Amino acid sequence: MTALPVSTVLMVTGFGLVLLGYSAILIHRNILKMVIGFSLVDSGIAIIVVALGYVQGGTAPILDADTTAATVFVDPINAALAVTAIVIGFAVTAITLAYAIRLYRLHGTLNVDAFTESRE
Amino acid sequence: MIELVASFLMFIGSVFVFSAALGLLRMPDPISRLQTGTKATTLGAGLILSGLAVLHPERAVQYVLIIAFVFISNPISSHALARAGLKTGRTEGDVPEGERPEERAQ
Amino acid sequence: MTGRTVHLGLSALALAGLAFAFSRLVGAHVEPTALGQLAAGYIRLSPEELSVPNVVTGILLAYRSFDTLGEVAVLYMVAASLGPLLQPMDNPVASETPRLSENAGEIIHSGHFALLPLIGVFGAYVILFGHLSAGGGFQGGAIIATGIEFYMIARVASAINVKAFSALESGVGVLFVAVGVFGLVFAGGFLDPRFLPAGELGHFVSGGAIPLVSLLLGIKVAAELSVVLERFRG
Repeated sequence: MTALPVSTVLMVTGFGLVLLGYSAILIHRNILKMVIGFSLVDSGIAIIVVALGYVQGGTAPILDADTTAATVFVDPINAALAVTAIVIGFAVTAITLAYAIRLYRLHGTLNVDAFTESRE
Repeated sequence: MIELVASFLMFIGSVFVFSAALGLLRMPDPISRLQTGTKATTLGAGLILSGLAVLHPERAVQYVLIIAFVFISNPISSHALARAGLKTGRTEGDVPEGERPEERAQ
Repeated sequence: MTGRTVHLGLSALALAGLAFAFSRLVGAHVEPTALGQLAAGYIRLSPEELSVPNVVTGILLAYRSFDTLGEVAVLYMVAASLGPLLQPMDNPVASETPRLSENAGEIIHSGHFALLPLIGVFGAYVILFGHLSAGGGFQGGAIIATGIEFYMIARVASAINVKAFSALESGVGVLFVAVGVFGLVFAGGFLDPRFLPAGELGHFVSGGAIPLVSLLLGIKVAAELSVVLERFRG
């Protein structure tokens, strides 16, 4: 049995997290759980971005004493982009949580049904 | 042989972490969820890290340090959560609105 | 309720479609055996030009440091917009959760004496050695901010001075841009770190202005995240 490629394992994990996040956003009625869903999508996408940069047998792109001419590195650009994605994910989480607190103060509940009913 | 021991430790650790995740889903109220979430993950993380230490003995000291950190910080964080729940009176089976079984059945 | 059933059915359909698309994407991905030209160029140039062994830090703080400046600006906007968003409202329906008592409890109080020095040292290490090994300003700043959050939890009565933190953060931001202008004047472009001597590869004092930029970034991120956390504390 040949082992699965590392990037495939990582990508399945990442896409699984993204699906889990979207299902949380679509199915749950509680705003806090939707925020958790957004956060899961962020983490999944960061994992996918890193997985796309994996090169067979590569190590972290840091040169140290063990580095030789034959050392294969993984793509450093994807790691840098993942940092960006994490920061944006933090910003999204903070803002959505702030809006959740505001809605809770206005309506006394976190259930989205309470917000849609007032419109009808 | 070393790999076998390490894999065994990491597998047992993963079982504990999995049971913690299961407990988070199945337990009825916040306090028992905290209980499963903390004890099982602390032991699970400790076992996984000791498995890694067996696999890479040259970095064993660092793994022992991480284990010590997890063993201090994990109980403290769950204690803080449980205390906050106790002080604000949210220790009962307080499932958030919209998630209660009777509402789901509608 | 039929509306709920329709909603769940449509959600399941959308998720199934997404899962199908994702499975096709995973199936089509072939693991590369060599780097692309741009990545290979960064890995070759970062130690040569910048004398920075950690290529990711080299990209974040030199080649794409303008991006980093933008990210810090995003964090600043979050910290600034949380102020008006979380202001007390005139006629709230739900009252706030009562603040906990002054005392955080024996276990947390003792724990913060044991853990805060560790967290602080680790954060400082990650910031200062970001150009040599895994780490950098963003990561270390986030670690320091977790330490500050722990301090807030352990000392309930303590007030984080939001104005002082904002002033620190703005001052560091000005210094960051000043370093960028130095790069523009004395080296190749905006935020080019090569206006300071490159030093020897792998030494603590090396990489031109990159350790300096990393330090500024770490302080700025830590201050911004602390302001965000303090705003949520109410």
